[in-house]
Amino acid sequence: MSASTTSTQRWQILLGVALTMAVALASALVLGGALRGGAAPAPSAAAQPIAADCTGIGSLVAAASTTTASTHSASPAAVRKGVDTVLARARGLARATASDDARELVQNLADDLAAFRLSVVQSGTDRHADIAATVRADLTALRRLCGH
Amino acid sequence: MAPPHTPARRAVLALGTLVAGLGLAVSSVGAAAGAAAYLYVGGGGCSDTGAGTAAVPFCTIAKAAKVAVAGQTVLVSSGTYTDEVFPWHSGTAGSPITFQPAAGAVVTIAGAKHGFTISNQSWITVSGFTVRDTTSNAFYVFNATGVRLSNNTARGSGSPVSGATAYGMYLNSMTGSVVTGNLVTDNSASGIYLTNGSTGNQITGNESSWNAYGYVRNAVGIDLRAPGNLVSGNRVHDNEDSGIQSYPGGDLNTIVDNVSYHNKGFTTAALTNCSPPPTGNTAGCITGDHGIDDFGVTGSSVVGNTVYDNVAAGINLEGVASGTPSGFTFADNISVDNAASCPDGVGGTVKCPRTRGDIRVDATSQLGTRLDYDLVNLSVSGTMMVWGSTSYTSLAAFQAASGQESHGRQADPRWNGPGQADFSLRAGSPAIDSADSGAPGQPALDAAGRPRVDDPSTPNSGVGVRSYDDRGAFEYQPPTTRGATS
Repeated sequence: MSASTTSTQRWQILLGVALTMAVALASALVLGGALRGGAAPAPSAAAQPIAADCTGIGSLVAAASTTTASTHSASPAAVRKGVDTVLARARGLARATASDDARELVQNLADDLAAFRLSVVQSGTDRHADIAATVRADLTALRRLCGH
Repeated sequence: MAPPHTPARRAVLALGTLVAGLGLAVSSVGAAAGAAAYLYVGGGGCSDTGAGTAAVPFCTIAKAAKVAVAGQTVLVSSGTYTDEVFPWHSGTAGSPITFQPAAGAVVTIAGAKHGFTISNQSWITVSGFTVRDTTSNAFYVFNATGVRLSNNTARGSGSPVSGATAYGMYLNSMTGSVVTGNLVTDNSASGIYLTNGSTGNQITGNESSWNAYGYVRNAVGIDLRAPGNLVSGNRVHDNEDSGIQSYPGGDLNTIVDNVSYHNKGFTTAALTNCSPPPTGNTAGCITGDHGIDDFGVTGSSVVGNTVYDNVAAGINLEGVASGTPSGFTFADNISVDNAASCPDGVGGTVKCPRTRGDIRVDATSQLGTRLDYDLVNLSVSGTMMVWGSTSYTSLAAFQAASGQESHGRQADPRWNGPGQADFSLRAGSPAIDSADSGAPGQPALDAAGRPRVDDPSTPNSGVGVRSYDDRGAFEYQPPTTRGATS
């Protein structure tokens, strides 16, 4: 075996060691992150800007306002269908946002829209009035969040 | 000369290198386990640039929350802190991260946005803090499992202004967690709120009271918008709306051994969804609602609760989709004097109640609903039970018409002091030794953590594995057993 061959083999081994160490280090970081709940600890999502969500929130608020106000003019079936659409949007936005604040307020709206949907046909006027008032408060909170 | 590197030798070398590398990796991960058991916060000489030792503690709980890792306990010295605490790391099932006051310390977090925000981190324990006057929810949990919130106080969250209200404890996508022994009071939204798939949680032994929006009747003691949770041994009273509420999403919950009383009141403010009373001071309206309210949900058990003097129907089920079996069981409850009197607020004669009865099941919710072994009573004449669209002034009339409550009883439960919220049973109570211990969720211990006891003075008329369980949240302890079980 020539000296050059031996040197090449040594370089190959060193390269292998380096690569293996790199893989191991990366594994350590991933494992450590998994154990600690995330690859890179981050500050509260509540601190993240919600501006990116506010366009969708504004649209959602407008749609919810229109739909829930239509109980005086539309049939219960039509109101429920309209609420279904808005409810799906609210749930989708609650899942998508990275902001704790936006998530909470949109989730609240989704929860109360689900109750509102039911109250259109399944409850007395008092409960429906309670829930409608709560939905209005949810919408106020969302407008306030986005400065509308 | 170096030996030749055969393929086999190369493989051995590579494997050895890999093992060595992984060993290094594991030792790196294991550094968390080698961290100090305690981090200290507060007191003289504190510094957030230090290591959080007893000699040089951190100044803020938030700093400790930033660095604490699995297995560490954060001990906080007495004082009022203004920082919002959000852990940056998760604990593990066997090694949670714990936040608690130091021995003997009294710790308040005031004025922050949230007291504790546990978002996307799991296995966190928070115990023994007072969080008050936060601008948002005192405790906020999102996407977490293995959380334990115990013996905290959440008071005065948010403002009673539209758009600025806040919950005591807001629990979103929280699973496998425990909320116990907390006082959640005087918040501007519901006390404890579970939503968005929060499931497998135990909400036990909390007191949730005096929560109110102030401008709309909507604050509940415990508000369930998520399924599959145990709600047990809580005291919920004097809330603006119902004591415990299950709304759409809140199916399959087990609601046992709770005490729900006096969720009623008169406000001098004219709320947006209330009509003023017809006489007297017409500037305000009646608030309060049910002791336990279930609206549009299925498959839950409401067992062994004590429900007293709420403004509307004591235990209420309505809004189940027509033709859908509710799957509800009501058993072993004591429900007394609900929707029977109006609050003593200014105004005298008032608009109440909106619904009547100690137990009420509306017309779309009768299918698949089972009621038995409940004890009901009214100290004034009125509606005892509502089944569908029919009201009954006596249990006997209800039994005859509905075929339900064949073992129900109508009688004074003989509480020790309902005026003082003491709902323990006196000797001779018709609730003693008469419950169905096989009712779904009926616990082996009562709301005070005392065992079921066979009262030798009372013939057993109950059924199930124990024929001597008592109805309601509290088990009568005969004099001969009090010493042994106290």
